[in-house]
Amino acid sequence: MTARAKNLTLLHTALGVRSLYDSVCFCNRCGLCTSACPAYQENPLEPNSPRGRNQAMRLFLEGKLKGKEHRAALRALLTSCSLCGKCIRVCPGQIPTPKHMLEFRRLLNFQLLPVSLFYLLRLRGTAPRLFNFMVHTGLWANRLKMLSLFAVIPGMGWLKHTCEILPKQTPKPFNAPLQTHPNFIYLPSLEAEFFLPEVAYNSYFLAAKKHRVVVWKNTASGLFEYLYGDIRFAQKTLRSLILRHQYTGNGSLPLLCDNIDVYHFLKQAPQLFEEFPSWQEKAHHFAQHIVFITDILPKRFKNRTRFEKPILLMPSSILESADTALKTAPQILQTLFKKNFVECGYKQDYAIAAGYGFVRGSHANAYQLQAVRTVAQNQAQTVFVLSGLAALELGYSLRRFYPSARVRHIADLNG
Amino acid sequence: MKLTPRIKKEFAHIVGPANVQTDALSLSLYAYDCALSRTQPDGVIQVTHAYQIAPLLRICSKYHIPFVVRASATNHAGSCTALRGGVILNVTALNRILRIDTQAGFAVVEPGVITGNLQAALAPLGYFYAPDPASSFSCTIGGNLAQNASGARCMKYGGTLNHVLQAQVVLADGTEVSLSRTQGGPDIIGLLAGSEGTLGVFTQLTVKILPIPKHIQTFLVTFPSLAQSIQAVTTLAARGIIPRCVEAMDKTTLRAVEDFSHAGYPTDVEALLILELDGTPAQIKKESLVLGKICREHGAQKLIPAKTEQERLQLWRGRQSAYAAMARLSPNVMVGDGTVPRSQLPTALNRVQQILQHSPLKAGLLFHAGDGNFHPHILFDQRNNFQTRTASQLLQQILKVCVQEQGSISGEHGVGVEKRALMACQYDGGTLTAMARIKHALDPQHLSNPLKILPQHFLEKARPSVLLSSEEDALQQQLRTWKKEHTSFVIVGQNSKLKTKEKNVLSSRSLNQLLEIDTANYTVTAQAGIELSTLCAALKKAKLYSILPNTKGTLGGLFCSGILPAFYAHVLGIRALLPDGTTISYGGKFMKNAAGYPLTRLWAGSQGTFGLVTQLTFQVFAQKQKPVACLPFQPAAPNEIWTRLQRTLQGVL
Repeated sequence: MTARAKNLTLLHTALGVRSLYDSVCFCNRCGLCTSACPAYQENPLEPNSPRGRNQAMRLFLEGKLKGKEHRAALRALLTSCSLCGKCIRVCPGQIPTPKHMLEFRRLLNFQLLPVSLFYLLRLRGTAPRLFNFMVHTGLWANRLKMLSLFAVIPGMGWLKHTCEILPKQTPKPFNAPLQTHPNFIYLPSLEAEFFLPEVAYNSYFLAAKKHRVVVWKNTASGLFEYLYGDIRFAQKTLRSLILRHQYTGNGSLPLLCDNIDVYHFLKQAPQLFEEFPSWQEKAHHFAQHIVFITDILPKRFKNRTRFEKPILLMPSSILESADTALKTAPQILQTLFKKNFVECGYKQDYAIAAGYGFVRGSHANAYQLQAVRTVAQNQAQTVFVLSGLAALELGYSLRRFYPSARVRHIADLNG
Repeated sequence: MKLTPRIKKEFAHIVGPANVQTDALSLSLYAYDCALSRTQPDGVIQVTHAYQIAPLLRICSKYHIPFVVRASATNHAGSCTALRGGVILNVTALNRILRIDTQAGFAVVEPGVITGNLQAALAPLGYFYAPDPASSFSCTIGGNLAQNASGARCMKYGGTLNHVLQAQVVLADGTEVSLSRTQGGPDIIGLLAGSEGTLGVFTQLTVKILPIPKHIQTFLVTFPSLAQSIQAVTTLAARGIIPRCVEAMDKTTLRAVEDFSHAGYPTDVEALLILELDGTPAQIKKESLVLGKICREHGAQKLIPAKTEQERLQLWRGRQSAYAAMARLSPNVMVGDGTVPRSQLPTALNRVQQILQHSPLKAGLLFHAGDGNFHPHILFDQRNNFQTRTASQLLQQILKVCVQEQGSISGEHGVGVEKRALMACQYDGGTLTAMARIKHALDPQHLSNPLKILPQHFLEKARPSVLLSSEEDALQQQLRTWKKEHTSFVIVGQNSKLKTKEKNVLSSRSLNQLLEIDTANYTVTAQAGIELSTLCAALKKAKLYSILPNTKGTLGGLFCSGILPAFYAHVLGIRALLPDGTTISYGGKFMKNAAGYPLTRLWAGSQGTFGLVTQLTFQVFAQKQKPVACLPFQPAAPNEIWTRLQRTLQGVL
């Protein structure tokens, strides 16, 4: 029996299932993607362009480029891709370059996060209780201002990373009442659970208006494993999530996500099981029950006046390009705020506001500044985003460079 | 050649060590453009400031290092590949818009500015830059000029070469030259347009900008056959209506586009036209009525006007996504670019369709119907050798059909390396020799984008020279005699401007025939010695108009003296004799030509320094043209490029 592949060999693209090599070869080198890529806009070099990335991967797959010999250059090439997916939207062949880059990372065994941070975050999927304990230990150490002291102790290096994934001030933890006979599941994202409880509360209450909601606390979606690890880790995590969904309400309950990236990942669950026919049907069934905040947002809100105008939407997302969630969000805001809702213009469209695909490399600040520039150009006062992580990262940059604007998660419309 | 540490150090001294790349990954990623060819350079230099180019080229010249200038590399001709190795000068970082002057109507830009970015900067000011290549969101202005790109609006506004007013150029040996359209002499900017970086490097460009028309009306017209749609466009032009854009699609492309973009195109028709008129509301209304009538006369099935701006954009969305619609069907799309005279378009398309029908590969046709430029999109997989070979052969066959139908192998994509061999089908030995001499004059070491445009051993493969008339033959003999005797001479028309008293004067007076008035293509072919008054009378009789003034002098004299620069853009074809008697035959009745150096521009305003123009083909119109005042004649001050060209073309190598 052959070992399972560490990377995906079959990809679900906008134009059907293709092998990884086929998908890469569909790049015609027309260069239209260069106009959309934030990395290329910042530094117009070929390795920073989606075209260059695809060509590099093609050379690698054809054996013309050795990973070991060009490790540093390939690492720079891979980290320059923020997986924002803007290139897919302009590509004539809708080539999923971000997906190629994820597989390229796996093929090259690149570890883009600090090792102890990677293992700490992986614990959320493998040992959620231990993860919870470790995070809270870090939280207390931080509160006692002894984090750096503990972190130097051999074997306690992970402690300093708990600080990286925790907010500066301790938020009130998100606690939802228990529900009997639930008919709706809410899967809070990592950031909603630990950093931005208001997003979790808003998402929960939006769902709880009409449904009996059960909250799956401290449950990994598998997105982290998919982005940073071996594909087998992601498959394992996703399998347990699918099974849990199957056993809750006979697998017929909608599963709400508050993060657009998690939503897109779960929607693509069948892709991860393309080579496992027995899991295909289950994954398809599971993907059909995934909903995003925009699907449950009511059409009218009483308190919409409390948002400062003009309003801007930055629907930055990885993994998927043309999805209904990205289309419905602007429609909702347009209906709510009418003329006060500013549509992004050429090039600013879907400007990157960071998210799960974000690798903190040398490009990080540049991308953030591009997003800030877009906000400033539109003179927006309130910026809506579809992911908590994007809200955190963009919020940090806006506070620094354009403090008059505030970032809100779309769930905050609930108040 | 490998770059030695010493050379690398010298390059690094100018651009910084980080901007000189020689690692295998960088070299692989700068080995391609949008065409099939792929060749690795020896180094990649990231140019960050325009002033770095001249010293870089001096180093290249010193060490005989070939170089290729590369911007977005979106061309379909293989113009950006380093065939002889050497270095790639990546100028994408030169992307600053330096100045926009709406009052004087120009913008100063660096060559790496993305065309779409310039449009975006001009739009809020109520202005636009007329050339609009389909890849305008990714291609650069410098690249557009180097390839002489145009686009859908070309029929009304012309290609990139008509929209550049000034240019800063660095020649292959590092000589910096400042060129302007107002400085007199030959139209060197026009000559460098379409040179694909083989003659020099643009470092700064001043481009013309125009106010955005306030009123635009777009129509979608369907026809039962492709030929009828083309005939309708020809009649439209014949009646003097020049639409802003005329785009056409065949059935295959139409279906692919509709499946992809859902633009609302009817799919049960054989051909579709998208026509756009601009101007004053009254003018648009008047032209719309004529347009509707003409389309119905030619069997149009549906004529749908766009009622709102949204509908207009919806119609264009389909057209703009045509490439995308085809690209998703196959890993590779080979985009051809043939041009024929408008009247030959139905015949040419018929022949092309027959070729495509017998081919194992799927292909669609898309064309700028207004200027006889069509783009076959051939779908293939580059990994499959048979398919790649078939696609290349198919394209060659199609382009040969264009040449047989008195057209050109390239209307706007350029020649590069992909169509290089076909240049010998289009041009005779004399014309190709002249192009080779131009290259030699400006780049004697053959370092600037070497081995492009001109085919190898072209003298053996070139098509036979055109048959000269008895008068031309006599003049050629005279030139050869003088060349043999090393006698100097002066070229004149009626000698009305130069008023020379030289002993040896070569006059074009004997060439005084009006050869053809083509009312299908709206072109006139006349010998250069024809008097302007005679020509104007003949045009008046045929109810045709041009911008030529009814003054003293000859057609050739007016063209070569440089007193009417506005006329240059109207000249489509030229026949000339070089000072050593070599015959040149360039262009024809087709509206666009990006195959080789634009030789019409070499003689425009050349004041007899490059030989004698014997015949000109130029555009005429059915509508009255605004009279253009002639400039006073004065000998132009020579510049570096003119002097070098003069020396080489006169045979002093």
